Amino acid sequence: MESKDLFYEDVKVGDTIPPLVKKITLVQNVMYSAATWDFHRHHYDREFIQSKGFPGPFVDGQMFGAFLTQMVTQWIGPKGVLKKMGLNYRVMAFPGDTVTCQGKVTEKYKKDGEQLVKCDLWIENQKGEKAIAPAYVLFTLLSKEIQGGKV
Amino acid sequence: MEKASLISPEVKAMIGTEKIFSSLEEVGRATIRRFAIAVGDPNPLYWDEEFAKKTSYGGIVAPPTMVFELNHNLGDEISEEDGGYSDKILLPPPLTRFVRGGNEYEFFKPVRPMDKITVKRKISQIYEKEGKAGPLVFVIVEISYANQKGELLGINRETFVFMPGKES
Repeated sequence: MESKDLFYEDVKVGDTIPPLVKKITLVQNVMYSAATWDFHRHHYDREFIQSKGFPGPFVDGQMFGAFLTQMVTQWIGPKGVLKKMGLNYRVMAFPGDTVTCQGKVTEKYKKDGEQLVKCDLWIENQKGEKAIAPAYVLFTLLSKEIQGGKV
Repeated sequence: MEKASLISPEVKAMIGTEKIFSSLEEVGRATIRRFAIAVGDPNPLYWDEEFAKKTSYGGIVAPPTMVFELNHNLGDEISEEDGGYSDKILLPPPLTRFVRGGNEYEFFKPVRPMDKITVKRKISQIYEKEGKAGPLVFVIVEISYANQKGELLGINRETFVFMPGKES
């Protein structure tokens, strides 16, 4: 995977982030549980979770933070550095769902020698419902003027 | 007649309480690579040392949100009944149902394979709000992550929404 660095000068308010589509499977759900050492039956045991009134095993909310991070880092490249991210959960997600991560630049400004960019983010499921919203990310980018400078 | 608050003295006493967990061993490259595979993030920065050395990071780092999942590695016993940890934050009945409301992440430094993590978890706020279907209790948990050098890596502020109902 080649990722090109995005520079502060390249970004305009209103720019959209190339969307990231994820089809979440039960296997992936279990892989995420295993990778994070989270063995709650919520994430794989249909009978258990239906007895609690849920339709089926559900996706760990923090997986969406990881998806949004992937979308943003693929866009900005390795020299962009994440500072903050916030996300709110709207509708639950279940294996079998296909979700689309999206984002749009809302602000860019310089502060304390850093070039900062803020974007609104959101995730929609295949029914067009917002699974994650509102959400945002704040990150720094290098300026072309100091290209090759210390990150 | 005023409705009784769901925030009992017992619940109120939880505000400000802290718990610290320290990892017994380093995070390790395998943990990082497995997390990246599980998410489906193909960035070689998370598994290819040669590639990672040439970046400004100078070596493999973890995907940014991975740090916020490291408390599970430090957790205590896992219940056979529900697969959960015995240490999770619970409120007394009737507030037995909860959902995740949101996460607010602050990233300070990336996690590296040789980092040994200390997690500090604090219940920073508990407040009540009237929801569409009845009263809700919001619990804000602030979890900070540091490495063996005492460097702060990240902070995760999690919002959980508790409500009366079936246990979840």
